[in-house]
Amino acid sequence: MRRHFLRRCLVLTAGFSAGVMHPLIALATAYKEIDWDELIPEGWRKQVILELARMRRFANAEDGDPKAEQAYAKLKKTWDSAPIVKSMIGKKVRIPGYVVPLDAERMQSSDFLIVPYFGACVHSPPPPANQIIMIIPPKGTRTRTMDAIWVEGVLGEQRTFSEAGTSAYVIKADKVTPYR
Amino acid sequence: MIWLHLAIQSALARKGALLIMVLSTAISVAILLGVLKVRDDAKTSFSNAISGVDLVLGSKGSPAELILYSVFHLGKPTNTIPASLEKDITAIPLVDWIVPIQLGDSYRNYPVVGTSTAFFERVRAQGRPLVIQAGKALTDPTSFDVVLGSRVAKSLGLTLSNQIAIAHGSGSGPKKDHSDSPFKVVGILAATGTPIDQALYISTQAFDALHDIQDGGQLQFAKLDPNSRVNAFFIGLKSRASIFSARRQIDDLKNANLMAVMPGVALDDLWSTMEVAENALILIAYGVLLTTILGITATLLIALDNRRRELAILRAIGAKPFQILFFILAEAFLVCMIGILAGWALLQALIAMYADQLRTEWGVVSSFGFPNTADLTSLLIVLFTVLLFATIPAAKAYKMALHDGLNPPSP
Repeated sequence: MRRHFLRRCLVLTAGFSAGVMHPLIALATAYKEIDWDELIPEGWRKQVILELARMRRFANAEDGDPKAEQAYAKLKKTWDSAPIVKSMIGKKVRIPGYVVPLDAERMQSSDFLIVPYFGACVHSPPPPANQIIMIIPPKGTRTRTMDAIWVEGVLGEQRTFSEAGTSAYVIKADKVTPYR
Repeated sequence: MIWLHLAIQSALARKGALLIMVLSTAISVAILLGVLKVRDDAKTSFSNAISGVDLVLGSKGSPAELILYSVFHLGKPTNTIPASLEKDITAIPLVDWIVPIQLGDSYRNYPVVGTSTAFFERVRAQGRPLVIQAGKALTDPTSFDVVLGSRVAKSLGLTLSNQIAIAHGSGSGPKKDHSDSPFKVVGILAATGTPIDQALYISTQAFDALHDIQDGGQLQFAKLDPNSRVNAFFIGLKSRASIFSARRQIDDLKNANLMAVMPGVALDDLWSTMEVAENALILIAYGVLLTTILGITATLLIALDNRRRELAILRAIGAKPFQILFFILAEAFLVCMIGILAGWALLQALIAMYADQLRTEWGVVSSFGFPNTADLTSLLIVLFTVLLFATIPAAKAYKMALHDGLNPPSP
């Protein structure tokens, strides 16, 4: 599990650095199509890459290795307190993602989260806080776990009440469409 | 419209056979609509049962199972987690509220839930807060008070200040019935149409006392039980966006036996496993429907031989061959329409009759309703298919009308 997580992190780093997570054709709308990478502050990205590079030596560590555990705990903290890119707030954006439902109740459209990669948060460790967007969908939206969707709306900021006092992204969606 | 009139009159003259056709159509339509409706209702009833809860915490195992027993009171709770975790979890700054859920006891087949007073403020059903219809919510955790779900109160005929004896264990059958340990009904919840209606609520301390009791002993509150255990916690967060951080911090409690489940995800999982059964049901319904459509066509085809004279007379009084075609199609259309309407009415009648059983036995809340878009689509498919199939006998009638002229061979 732990090792799997580390591998995942490394894969994610590769994704970060290459910046090729969603090579998609931009559509001519008022909504600017953005990439998940643009939601990661440059300084924080460098810090994480360094931290992950340092963790590489634990790649073959035994489960329960105290040093690995420590590094893992530190990394989790970094993940949870990931800062957002302030300059993106208030922009009209269009972004693809996978659905993670929050509510069990589906009578009306209920809020959900989107994440950049399949299976995130459900089976494997969740992505950093700045790679999760809370979506307040328009009425009548029906989604299921891990549906791939496009979201259009204004990117907002929401406080998370975590120890680090960080913020999270939120989109009050004007439109939610299936990803094709 | 003279042709429609004629078709009706002609049909009335052969009402015996046509009645059976209408009936068979009606039954198939009722089955088709019923399957579609049950699927829909089951889904909404299921997903409406719990809202506003961000995480359900339980002992490690199957997430779907945890949701099934903690929310729907289905199946048997297996493992427990220490109640003392409540303190640790409340200490996590992301957590707004936490409600314990204890299960395993029953009163006349209805599950008894041990919980805190916060349950009534925090847990919502169908997106709305719980409403106390009579009396009050649980307020004193150290009293043998019980709040009833509306269904429990109704079917057992219980009212405020009734005394009841809650038994240890679940299910019916002879068992220790602590008649000497009566609980007092202090409140009755308004109906929600969710499993909340079908349970009794007592405080966790009363629940523990129930378990501590010795044979023949007196039910009494021990000092706060440090070893008290619960089946699940419902957790609400201050910010839902931080759900993963919260989950991680719960993981960090170093209690290897814990599992924090997002109810939405677990429910979707549950539904995807049921999809096979769902699709099988729909397949069966469409099979029944196809049989009916073929039945209608066959009946029309067979009836045609007996109608040669009728059609010849129609020709004689000036009916053109294409009007004969229309005549046959009109009959098929009428049979189908009446069948669909009758089928829908039949289903509504069945729902009205068995809604209670559906809800109590199966946990499906069903109610009177006009067909939705999906239903209408399938009905249109039915109508269209019948008309399509009806062109076979209609085309035959058209040809016969041309060939036979006024001298049909004697049948």
